Amino acid sequence: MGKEAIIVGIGIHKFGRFEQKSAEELGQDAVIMALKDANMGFKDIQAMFLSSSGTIYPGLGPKVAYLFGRTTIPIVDVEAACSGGGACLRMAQMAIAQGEYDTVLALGVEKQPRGFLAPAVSGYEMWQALAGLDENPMYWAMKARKHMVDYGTTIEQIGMVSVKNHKNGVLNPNAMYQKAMTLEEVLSSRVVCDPLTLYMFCAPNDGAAAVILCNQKAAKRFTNKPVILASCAHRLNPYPELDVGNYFGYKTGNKPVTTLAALDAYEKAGIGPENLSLVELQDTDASAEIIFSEELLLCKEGEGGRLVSDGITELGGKLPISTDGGIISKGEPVGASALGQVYEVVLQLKGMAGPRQVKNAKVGLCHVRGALGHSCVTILKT
Amino acid sequence: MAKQVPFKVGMLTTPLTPLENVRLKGIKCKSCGAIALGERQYCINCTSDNLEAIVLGKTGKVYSHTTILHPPPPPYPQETFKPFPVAWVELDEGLFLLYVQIQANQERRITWEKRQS
Repeated sequence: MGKEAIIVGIGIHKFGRFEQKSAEELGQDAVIMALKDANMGFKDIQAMFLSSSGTIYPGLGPKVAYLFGRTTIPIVDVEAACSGGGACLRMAQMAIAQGEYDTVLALGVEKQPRGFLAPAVSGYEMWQALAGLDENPMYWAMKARKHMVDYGTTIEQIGMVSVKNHKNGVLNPNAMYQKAMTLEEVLSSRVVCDPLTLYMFCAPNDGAAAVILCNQKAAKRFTNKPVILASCAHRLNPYPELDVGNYFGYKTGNKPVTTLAALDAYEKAGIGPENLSLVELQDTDASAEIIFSEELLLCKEGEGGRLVSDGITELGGKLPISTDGGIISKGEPVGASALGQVYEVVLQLKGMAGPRQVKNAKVGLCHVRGALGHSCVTILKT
Repeated sequence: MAKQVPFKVGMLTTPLTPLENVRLKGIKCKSCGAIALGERQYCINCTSDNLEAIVLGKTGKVYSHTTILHPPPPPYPQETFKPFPVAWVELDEGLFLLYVQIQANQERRITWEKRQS
Protein backbone atom coordinates (compact mmCIF):
# COMPACT_ATOMS: atom_id res chain seq x y z
CA MET A 1 0.00 0.00 0.00
CA GLY A 2 3.02 2.27 0.44
CA LYS A 3 3.16 2.72 -3.30
CA GLU A 4 -0.32 4.20 -3.56
CA ALA A 5 -0.37 7.51 -5.39
CA ILE A 6 -1.73 10.50 -3.49
CA ILE A 7 -3.14 13.59 -5.15
CA VAL A 8 -1.47 16.61 -3.56
CA GLY A 9 -2.38 19.32 -6.04
CA ILE A 10 -5.04 20.09 -8.63
CA GLY A 11 -5.38 22.92 -11.10
CA ILE A 12 -7.67 23.86 -13.94
CA HIS A 13 -7.93 26.36 -16.73
CA LYS A 14 -11.58 27.16 -17.31
CA PHE A 15 -13.08 25.21 -20.21
CA GLY A 16 -14.27 27.49 -23.01
CA ARG A 17 -12.95 29.35 -26.03
CA PHE A 18 -9.80 31.38 -25.57
CA GLU A 19 -8.62 32.50 -28.97
CA GLN A 20 -6.00 34.82 -27.50
CA LYS A 21 -4.29 32.04 -25.55
CA SER A 22 -1.96 29.32 -26.83
CA ALA A 23 -2.24 25.68 -25.77
CA GLU A 24 1.01 26.11 -23.81
CA GLU A 25 -0.45 29.05 -21.87
CA LEU A 26 -3.64 27.15 -21.05
CA GLY A 27 -1.52 24.30 -19.74
CA GLN A 28 0.76 26.60 -17.81
CA ASP A 29 -2.16 28.24 -16.01
CA ALA A 30 -3.48 24.85 -14.86
CA VAL A 31 -0.01 23.82 -13.69
CA ILE A 32 0.53 27.08 -11.76
CA MET A 33 -2.74 26.49 -9.94
CA ALA A 34 -1.85 22.87 -9.13
CA LEU A 35 1.63 23.86 -7.89
CA LYS A 36 0.07 26.48 -5.61
CA ASP A 37 -2.45 23.94 -4.37
CA ALA A 38 0.43 21.57 -3.53
CA ASN A 39 2.52 24.39 -2.13
CA MET A 40 5.47 23.47 -4.34
CA GLY A 41 7.47 24.82 -7.28
CA PHE A 42 7.94 23.36 -10.74
CA LYS A 43 11.42 22.22 -9.67
CA ASP A 44 9.72 19.75 -7.31
CA ILE A 45 8.21 17.88 -10.27
CA GLN A 46 10.33 14.85 -11.16
CA ALA A 47 8.45 13.50 -14.19
CA MET A 48 5.57 14.71 -16.34
CA PHE A 49 2.97 13.24 -18.68
CA LEU A 50 0.90 15.44 -20.97
CA SER A 51 -2.34 14.44 -22.67
CA SER A 52 -3.57 16.11 -25.81
CA SER A 53 -5.53 14.83 -28.77
CA GLY A 54 -6.79 17.09 -31.45
CA THR A 55 -4.81 20.16 -30.84
CA ILE A 56 -1.75 19.51 -31.64
CA TYR A 57 1.70 19.39 -32.81
CA PRO A 58 4.35 17.19 -31.23
CA GLY A 59 6.24 18.22 -28.14
CA LEU A 60 3.55 20.10 -26.26
CA GLY A 61 4.69 18.60 -22.94
CA PRO A 62 8.21 20.03 -23.08
CA LYS A 63 6.86 23.31 -24.45
CA VAL A 64 4.60 23.80 -21.42
CA ALA A 65 7.40 22.76 -19.07
CA TYR A 66 9.91 25.18 -20.66
CA LEU A 67 7.61 28.08 -19.80
CA PHE A 68 8.74 27.40 -16.24
CA GLY A 69 12.36 27.25 -17.38
CA ARG A 70 14.52 24.53 -18.87
CA THR A 71 14.19 21.16 -17.19
CA THR A 72 15.83 17.78 -17.66
CA ILE A 73 13.00 15.66 -16.20
CA PRO A 74 11.44 13.02 -18.46
CA ILE A 75 8.30 14.33 -20.19
CA VAL A 76 6.12 12.16 -22.40
CA ASP A 77 3.11 13.22 -24.47
CA VAL A 78 0.17 10.81 -24.34
CA GLU A 79 -2.66 10.47 -26.86
CA ALA A 80 -5.76 8.39 -26.17
CA ALA A 81 -8.63 10.42 -27.67
CA CYS A 82 -11.28 11.51 -25.13
CA SER A 83 -9.64 9.17 -22.62
CA GLY A 84 -6.24 10.84 -22.90
CA GLY A 85 -6.38 12.51 -19.50
CA GLY A 86 -7.14 9.18 -17.85
CA ALA A 87 -4.37 7.40 -19.76
CA CYS A 88 -1.97 10.17 -18.78
CA LEU A 89 -2.96 9.95 -15.11
CA ARG A 90 -2.42 6.21 -15.24
CA MET A 91 1.10 6.71 -16.59
CA ALA A 92 1.78 9.11 -13.72
CA GLN A 93 0.33 6.65 -11.21
CA MET A 94 2.54 3.86 -12.55
CA ALA A 95 5.59 6.12 -12.36
CA ILE A 96 4.84 6.67 -8.67
CA ALA A 97 4.09 3.00 -8.01
CA GLN A 98 7.26 1.92 -9.76
CA GLY A 99 9.13 3.86 -7.10
CA GLU A 100 11.53 5.97 -9.12
CA TYR A 101 9.74 9.29 -8.56
CA ASP A 102 8.23 11.02 -5.53
CA THR A 103 6.35 13.70 -7.47
CA VAL A 104 4.77 13.38 -10.92
CA LEU A 105 2.64 15.82 -12.89
CA ALA A 106 -0.22 14.77 -15.16
CA LEU A 107 -1.47 17.56 -17.42
CA GLY A 108 -4.20 17.61 -20.04
CA VAL A 109 -4.41 20.44 -22.58
CA GLU A 110 -6.63 20.99 -25.58
CA LYS A 111 -7.51 23.69 -28.06
CA GLN A 112 -10.14 22.82 -30.62
CA PRO A 113 -12.11 24.65 -33.25
CA ARG A 114 -15.88 25.10 -32.92
CA GLY A 115 -18.28 22.46 -34.15
CA PHE A 116 -17.79 18.79 -34.86
CA LEU A 117 -14.34 17.30 -34.38
CA ALA A 118 -12.27 17.03 -37.57
CA PRO A 119 -12.68 13.53 -39.07
CA ALA A 120 -9.10 12.43 -38.38
CA VAL A 121 -9.38 13.33 -34.67
CA SER A 122 -12.04 10.67 -34.23
CA GLY A 123 -10.12 8.18 -36.34
CA TYR A 124 -12.32 8.24 -39.45
CA GLU A 125 -11.02 7.25 -42.87
CA MET A 126 -11.44 9.62 -45.81
CA TRP A 127 -14.18 7.56 -47.49
CA GLN A 128 -16.23 7.72 -44.27
CA ALA A 129 -15.82 11.50 -44.18
CA LEU A 130 -16.84 11.83 -47.84
CA ALA A 131 -19.89 9.65 -47.23
CA GLY A 132 -20.87 11.81 -44.26
CA LEU A 133 -20.35 8.97 -41.80
CA ASP A 134 -17.99 10.94 -39.58
CA GLU A 135 -20.66 12.76 -37.62
CA ASN A 136 -20.32 11.27 -34.13
CA PRO A 137 -23.86 12.23 -33.02
CA MET A 138 -25.39 9.86 -35.59
CA TYR A 139 -23.88 6.88 -33.76
CA TRP A 140 -25.04 8.20 -30.40
CA ALA A 141 -28.50 8.81 -31.84
CA MET A 142 -28.76 5.21 -33.06
CA LYS A 143 -27.62 3.90 -29.67
CA ALA A 144 -30.16 6.17 -27.97
CA ARG A 145 -32.99 5.01 -30.22
CA LYS A 146 -32.10 1.37 -29.62
CA HIS A 147 -32.11 2.00 -25.87
CA MET A 148 -35.52 3.65 -26.12
CA VAL A 149 -36.93 0.73 -28.11
CA ASP A 150 -35.38 -1.99 -25.93
CA TYR A 151 -35.96 -0.50 -22.48
CA GLY A 152 -38.64 2.13 -22.84
CA THR A 153 -36.23 4.96 -22.08
CA THR A 154 -38.02 8.19 -22.98
CA ILE A 155 -36.80 11.27 -24.78
CA GLU A 156 -37.85 13.20 -21.66
CA GLN A 157 -35.43 11.14 -19.55
CA ILE A 158 -32.65 11.85 -22.03
CA GLY A 159 -33.55 15.54 -21.95
CA MET A 160 -33.52 15.52 -18.12
CA VAL A 161 -29.83 14.55 -18.16
CA SER A 162 -29.12 17.72 -20.07
CA VAL A 163 -31.31 19.80 -17.74
CA LYS A 164 -29.54 18.34 -14.68
CA ASN A 165 -26.05 18.88 -16.04
CA HIS A 166 -26.79 22.44 -17.13
CA LYS A 167 -28.28 23.11 -13.69
CA ASN A 168 -25.04 21.88 -12.08
CA GLY A 169 -23.00 23.88 -14.59
CA VAL A 170 -24.56 27.11 -13.30
CA LEU A 171 -22.76 26.39 -10.01
CA ASN A 172 -19.39 25.81 -11.71
CA PRO A 173 -17.37 28.93 -12.59
CA ASN A 174 -15.11 26.77 -14.79
CA ALA A 175 -17.94 25.61 -17.08
CA MET A 176 -18.32 27.08 -20.57
CA TYR A 177 -22.13 27.21 -20.36
CA GLN A 178 -23.34 28.45 -16.98
CA LYS A 179 -26.95 28.62 -17.98
CA ALA A 180 -29.93 26.64 -16.73
CA MET A 181 -32.31 25.14 -19.29
CA THR A 182 -35.82 23.82 -19.03
CA LEU A 183 -36.78 20.41 -20.35
CA GLU A 184 -38.92 22.15 -22.97
CA GLU A 185 -35.94 24.18 -24.17
CA VAL A 186 -33.78 21.06 -24.47
CA LEU A 187 -36.43 19.01 -26.28
CA SER A 188 -37.43 21.78 -28.65
CA SER A 189 -33.89 22.76 -29.61
CA ARG A 190 -32.81 21.90 -33.15
CA VAL A 191 -32.65 18.18 -33.99
CA VAL A 192 -29.07 17.25 -34.88
CA CYS A 193 -29.55 13.51 -35.37
CA ASP A 194 -33.02 12.25 -34.66
CA PRO A 195 -33.97 11.81 -31.75
CA LEU A 196 -31.15 13.87 -30.20
CA THR A 197 -31.33 17.66 -30.10
CA LEU A 198 -28.65 20.35 -29.98
CA TYR A 199 -28.82 21.02 -26.25
CA MET A 200 -28.24 17.33 -25.51
CA PHE A 201 -24.66 17.49 -26.80
CA CYS A 202 -21.32 18.58 -25.46
CA ALA A 203 -19.18 20.92 -27.52
CA PRO A 204 -15.45 20.52 -28.17
CA ASN A 205 -13.55 23.49 -26.74
CA ASP A 206 -10.33 24.69 -25.07
CA GLY A 207 -9.12 23.98 -21.57
CA ALA A 208 -6.55 22.38 -19.34
CA ALA A 209 -6.39 20.49 -16.07
CA ALA A 210 -3.44 19.38 -13.96
CA VAL A 211 -2.99 16.81 -11.22
CA ILE A 212 0.13 16.35 -9.09
CA LEU A 213 0.74 12.90 -7.63
CA CYS A 214 3.10 11.90 -4.84
CA ASN A 215 3.91 8.69 -3.07
CA GLN A 216 2.61 8.47 0.49
CA LYS A 217 5.83 9.62 2.12
CA ALA A 218 6.34 12.69 -0.07
CA ALA A 219 2.65 13.59 0.07
CA LYS A 220 2.93 14.54 3.73
CA ARG A 221 5.24 17.40 2.78
CA PHE A 222 2.72 18.94 0.40
CA THR A 223 -0.80 18.38 1.72
CA ASN A 224 -2.76 17.75 4.89
CA LYS A 225 -5.85 16.78 2.95
CA PRO A 226 -4.63 13.82 0.88
CA VAL A 227 -6.89 12.23 -1.72
CA ILE A 228 -5.91 8.70 -2.68
CA LEU A 229 -5.84 7.61 -6.31
CA ALA A 230 -7.31 4.19 -5.54
CA SER A 231 -7.19 2.92 -9.11
CA CYS A 232 -6.92 4.08 -12.67
CA ALA A 233 -7.80 1.61 -15.42
CA HIS A 234 -7.43 1.98 -19.17
CA ARG A 235 -8.87 -0.42 -21.75
CA LEU A 236 -9.76 -0.53 -25.41
CA ASN A 237 -13.08 -1.74 -26.77
CA PRO A 238 -13.32 -5.37 -27.87
CA TYR A 239 -15.01 -6.18 -31.20
CA PRO A 240 -18.43 -4.64 -30.63
CA GLU A 241 -21.89 -5.06 -31.99
CA LEU A 242 -21.76 -1.44 -33.01
CA ASP A 243 -19.60 1.48 -32.02
CA VAL A 244 -19.01 5.13 -32.81
CA GLY A 245 -16.95 5.38 -35.97
CA ASN A 246 -17.28 1.70 -36.89
CA TYR A 247 -19.10 0.67 -40.03
CA PHE A 248 -19.47 -3.00 -39.14
CA GLY A 249 -19.80 -5.17 -36.06
CA TYR A 250 -20.93 -8.56 -34.80
CA LYS A 251 -22.90 -9.89 -31.85
CA THR A 252 -19.94 -11.34 -29.95
CA GLY A 253 -21.33 -11.03 -26.44
CA ASN A 254 -18.23 -9.03 -25.45
CA LYS A 255 -18.64 -6.61 -22.56
CA PRO A 256 -18.32 -2.96 -23.62
CA VAL A 257 -15.04 -1.23 -22.85
CA THR A 258 -16.59 0.97 -20.16
CA THR A 259 -17.60 -2.13 -18.21
CA LEU A 260 -14.17 -3.73 -18.71
CA ALA A 261 -12.38 -0.60 -17.45
CA ALA A 262 -14.86 -0.23 -14.57
CA LEU A 263 -14.42 -3.85 -13.46
CA ASP A 264 -10.63 -3.35 -13.52
CA ALA A 265 -10.91 -0.16 -11.51
CA TYR A 266 -13.39 -1.59 -8.97
CA GLU A 267 -11.22 -4.65 -8.44
CA LYS A 268 -7.93 -2.78 -8.07
CA ALA A 269 -9.51 -0.29 -5.65
CA GLY A 270 -11.44 -2.90 -3.69
CA ILE A 271 -14.43 -0.61 -4.14
CA GLY A 272 -17.79 -1.40 -5.72
CA PRO A 273 -20.41 0.82 -7.34
CA GLU A 274 -22.41 0.68 -4.08
CA ASN A 275 -19.56 2.53 -2.29
CA LEU A 276 -19.54 5.57 -4.57
CA SER A 277 -20.49 9.04 -3.31
CA LEU A 278 -20.43 10.65 -6.75
CA VAL A 279 -19.64 9.93 -10.39
CA GLU A 280 -18.27 11.92 -13.30
CA LEU A 281 -18.88 10.25 -16.65
CA GLN A 282 -18.55 10.80 -20.37
CA ASP A 283 -21.74 12.74 -21.09
CA THR A 284 -20.76 13.43 -24.68
CA ASP A 285 -24.49 13.47 -25.23
CA ALA A 286 -27.34 13.15 -22.76
CA SER A 287 -28.23 9.58 -23.74
CA ALA A 288 -24.61 8.53 -23.15
CA GLU A 289 -24.99 9.32 -19.45
CA ILE A 290 -27.90 6.89 -19.28
CA ILE A 291 -26.07 4.15 -21.18
CA PHE A 292 -22.74 4.62 -19.39
CA SER A 293 -24.36 4.62 -15.95
CA GLU A 294 -25.53 1.10 -16.82
CA GLU A 295 -22.17 0.07 -18.27
CA LEU A 296 -20.46 1.36 -15.10
CA LEU A 297 -22.81 -0.98 -13.19
CA LEU A 298 -24.38 1.90 -11.25
CA CYS A 299 -27.76 0.32 -12.00
CA LYS A 300 -29.19 -2.63 -13.90
CA GLU A 301 -29.17 -2.71 -17.69
CA GLY A 302 -32.08 -0.67 -19.01
CA GLU A 303 -32.61 1.31 -15.78
CA GLY A 304 -30.29 4.22 -16.56
CA GLY A 305 -33.18 6.48 -17.56
CA ARG A 306 -34.77 6.08 -14.15
CA LEU A 307 -31.61 7.23 -12.38
CA VAL A 308 -32.24 10.71 -13.72
CA SER A 309 -36.05 10.76 -13.72
CA ASP A 310 -36.13 9.47 -10.11
CA GLY A 311 -33.71 12.23 -9.08
CA ILE A 312 -31.02 9.78 -7.94
CA THR A 313 -28.31 11.48 -9.97
CA GLU A 314 -29.26 15.06 -9.03
CA LEU A 315 -27.15 17.10 -6.64
CA GLY A 316 -28.65 16.01 -3.33
CA GLY A 317 -29.70 12.64 -4.78
CA LYS A 318 -28.33 9.29 -3.67
CA LEU A 319 -25.63 9.18 -6.36
CA PRO A 320 -24.99 12.55 -8.02
CA ILE A 321 -23.57 12.36 -11.55
CA SER A 322 -21.55 15.19 -13.09
CA THR A 323 -21.81 17.63 -10.19
CA ASP A 324 -19.62 20.06 -12.16
CA GLY A 325 -22.10 20.10 -15.05
CA GLY A 326 -20.39 17.38 -17.05
CA ILE A 327 -18.98 18.13 -20.48
CA ILE A 328 -22.53 19.01 -21.58
CA SER A 329 -22.07 22.29 -19.71
CA LYS A 330 -18.28 22.49 -19.37
CA GLY A 331 -17.54 21.62 -22.98
CA GLU A 332 -14.99 18.96 -23.88
CA PRO A 333 -11.33 19.85 -24.28
CA VAL A 334 -10.69 16.28 -25.36
CA GLY A 335 -7.23 15.61 -23.90
CA ALA A 336 -8.01 17.54 -20.71
CA SER A 337 -11.55 16.41 -19.89
CA ALA A 338 -10.63 13.36 -17.79
CA LEU A 339 -8.35 15.42 -15.55
CA GLY A 340 -11.13 18.01 -15.31
CA GLN A 341 -13.30 15.26 -13.83
CA VAL A 342 -10.53 14.37 -11.37
CA TYR A 343 -10.32 18.06 -10.43
CA GLU A 344 -14.02 18.05 -9.54
CA VAL A 345 -13.93 14.81 -7.58
CA VAL A 346 -10.87 15.92 -5.58
CA LEU A 347 -12.66 19.19 -4.71
CA GLN A 348 -15.69 17.16 -3.61
CA LEU A 349 -13.66 14.72 -1.52
CA LYS A 350 -11.90 17.62 0.18
CA GLY A 351 -15.25 19.26 0.92
CA MET A 352 -14.28 22.31 -1.16
CA ALA A 353 -16.94 22.18 -3.89
CA GLY A 354 -18.92 25.12 -2.47
CA PRO A 355 -22.56 25.33 -3.56
CA ARG A 356 -22.37 22.01 -5.40
CA GLN A 357 -20.78 20.09 -2.50
CA VAL A 358 -21.95 16.50 -2.07
CA LYS A 359 -22.44 15.76 1.63
CA ASN A 360 -19.96 13.29 3.15
CA ALA A 361 -18.28 12.59 -0.18
CA LYS A 362 -15.80 9.78 0.43
CA VAL A 363 -15.36 7.96 -2.87
CA GLY A 364 -15.67 9.25 -6.41
CA LEU A 365 -15.44 7.67 -9.84
CA CYS A 366 -14.39 9.33 -13.11
CA HIS A 367 -15.13 7.76 -16.49
CA VAL A 368 -14.13 8.74 -19.99
CA ARG A 369 -14.80 7.00 -23.30
CA GLY A 370 -13.37 8.09 -26.59
CA ALA A 371 -12.65 7.41 -30.21
CA LEU A 372 -10.74 4.30 -31.26
CA GLY A 373 -12.31 2.45 -28.32
CA HIS A 374 -10.38 4.08 -25.48
CA SER A 375 -11.93 4.18 -22.02
CA CYS A 376 -10.49 5.02 -18.60
CA VAL A 377 -12.07 4.64 -15.19
CA THR A 378 -10.47 6.32 -12.18
CA ILE A 379 -11.50 5.83 -8.56
CA LEU A 380 -10.53 8.36 -5.89
CA LYS A 381 -11.06 8.11 -2.16
CA THR A 382 -10.30 10.08 0.98
CA MET B 1 -21.45 6.80 -67.02
CA ALA B 2 -18.87 7.71 -64.38
CA LYS B 3 -16.19 5.17 -63.54
CA GLN B 4 -17.07 2.88 -60.64
CA VAL B 5 -14.57 2.84 -57.80
CA PRO B 6 -14.88 0.84 -54.56
CA PHE B 7 -15.51 2.91 -51.43
CA LYS B 8 -12.66 1.02 -49.80
CA VAL B 9 -10.26 -1.56 -51.19
CA GLY B 10 -10.93 -5.18 -50.25
CA MET B 11 -14.58 -4.76 -49.28
CA LEU B 12 -16.38 -5.66 -52.52
CA THR B 13 -16.41 -8.57 -54.93
CA THR B 14 -15.13 -7.77 -58.40
CA PRO B 15 -15.77 -6.91 -61.15
CA LEU B 16 -17.60 -3.74 -60.08
CA THR B 17 -19.90 -3.96 -63.10
CA PRO B 18 -22.65 -4.85 -63.44
CA LEU B 19 -23.33 -3.24 -60.09
CA GLU B 20 -26.22 -5.52 -59.18
CA ASN B 21 -23.81 -8.48 -59.04
CA VAL B 22 -21.41 -6.81 -56.63
CA ARG B 23 -21.45 -8.16 -53.06
CA LEU B 24 -19.69 -7.32 -49.82
CA LYS B 25 -16.82 -9.56 -48.88
CA GLY B 26 -15.99 -10.65 -45.37
CA ILE B 27 -14.17 -13.18 -43.27
CA LYS B 28 -15.51 -15.72 -40.83
CA CYS B 29 -13.26 -16.90 -38.03
CA LYS B 30 -13.04 -20.68 -37.73
CA SER B 31 -11.90 -20.34 -34.12
CA CYS B 32 -14.51 -18.02 -32.55
CA GLY B 33 -17.10 -17.76 -35.31
CA ALA B 34 -17.04 -13.97 -35.55
CA ILE B 35 -17.66 -12.32 -38.90
CA ALA B 36 -15.96 -9.14 -40.06
CA LEU B 37 -16.25 -7.02 -43.17
CA GLY B 38 -13.47 -7.00 -45.74
CA GLU B 39 -10.21 -8.84 -46.13
CA ARG B 40 -8.25 -9.47 -42.95
CA GLN B 41 -5.21 -11.45 -41.94
CA TYR B 42 -6.31 -11.90 -38.32
CA CYS B 43 -9.72 -12.26 -36.70
CA ILE B 44 -10.89 -8.90 -35.38
CA ASN B 45 -12.42 -10.61 -32.35
CA CYS B 46 -9.87 -13.21 -31.21
CA THR B 47 -6.72 -12.57 -33.33
CA SER B 48 -6.77 -16.08 -34.81
CA ASP B 49 -5.43 -16.45 -38.35
CA ASN B 50 -7.68 -19.42 -39.04
CA LEU B 51 -10.14 -17.60 -41.27
CA GLU B 52 -12.33 -18.28 -44.26
CA ALA B 53 -13.37 -15.77 -46.88
CA ILE B 54 -17.11 -15.29 -47.28
CA VAL B 55 -19.43 -13.33 -49.54
CA LEU B 56 -22.24 -11.55 -47.76
CA GLY B 57 -25.87 -11.50 -48.82
CA LYS B 58 -28.04 -8.49 -49.47
CA THR B 59 -30.72 -8.78 -46.82
CA GLY B 60 -31.06 -8.01 -43.15
CA LYS B 61 -33.07 -6.24 -40.49
CA VAL B 62 -32.86 -2.63 -39.37
CA TYR B 63 -31.35 -2.60 -35.86
CA SER B 64 -31.51 1.14 -35.26
CA HIS B 65 -31.61 4.28 -37.35
CA THR B 66 -31.41 8.03 -37.37
CA THR B 67 -31.75 10.96 -39.72
CA ILE B 68 -28.81 13.32 -39.97
CA LEU B 69 -30.18 16.86 -39.95
CA HIS B 70 -26.93 18.74 -39.44
CA PRO B 71 -24.22 18.64 -42.14
CA PRO B 72 -21.26 16.39 -41.33
CA PRO B 73 -17.95 18.30 -41.08
CA PRO B 74 -15.86 19.14 -44.17
CA PRO B 75 -14.67 17.63 -46.47
CA TYR B 76 -18.33 16.57 -46.73
CA PRO B 77 -19.83 19.12 -49.13
CA GLN B 78 -21.60 21.69 -46.95
CA GLU B 79 -23.62 23.68 -49.51
CA THR B 80 -25.41 20.74 -51.06
CA PHE B 81 -26.24 19.05 -47.75
CA LYS B 82 -29.69 17.59 -47.39
CA PRO B 83 -30.82 15.57 -44.36
CA PHE B 84 -30.25 11.86 -44.93
CA PRO B 85 -31.14 8.67 -43.07
CA VAL B 86 -28.58 6.21 -41.72
CA ALA B 87 -29.25 2.79 -40.25
CA TRP B 88 -27.46 -0.02 -38.51
CA VAL B 89 -28.55 -3.15 -40.34
CA GLU B 90 -28.09 -6.69 -39.06
CA LEU B 91 -27.45 -8.85 -42.12
CA ASP B 92 -28.85 -12.37 -42.20
CA GLU B 93 -25.29 -13.65 -41.57
CA GLY B 94 -25.21 -11.70 -38.27
CA LEU B 95 -22.89 -8.94 -39.44
CA PHE B 96 -23.94 -5.42 -38.43
CA LEU B 97 -23.44 -2.86 -41.16
CA LEU B 98 -23.84 0.85 -41.37
CA TYR B 99 -26.27 1.54 -44.18
CA VAL B 100 -26.44 4.91 -45.83
CA GLN B 101 -29.14 6.01 -48.15
CA ILE B 102 -27.65 8.70 -50.31
CA GLN B 103 -29.41 10.60 -53.03
CA ALA B 104 -27.99 10.08 -56.54
CA ASN B 105 -24.36 11.03 -56.25
CA GLN B 106 -21.99 8.79 -58.13
CA GLU B 107 -18.95 9.44 -55.96
CA ARG B 108 -20.73 8.75 -52.71
CA ARG B 109 -22.96 5.87 -53.74
CA ILE B 110 -22.81 2.87 -51.47
CA THR B 111 -23.28 -0.30 -53.41
CA TRP B 112 -25.62 -2.45 -51.42
CA GLU B 113 -29.30 -2.64 -50.81
CA LYS B 114 -31.42 -3.58 -47.88
CA ARG B 115 -34.84 -5.07 -47.54
CA GLN B 116 -37.10 -3.41 -45.00
CA SER B 117 -38.25 -5.94 -42.44
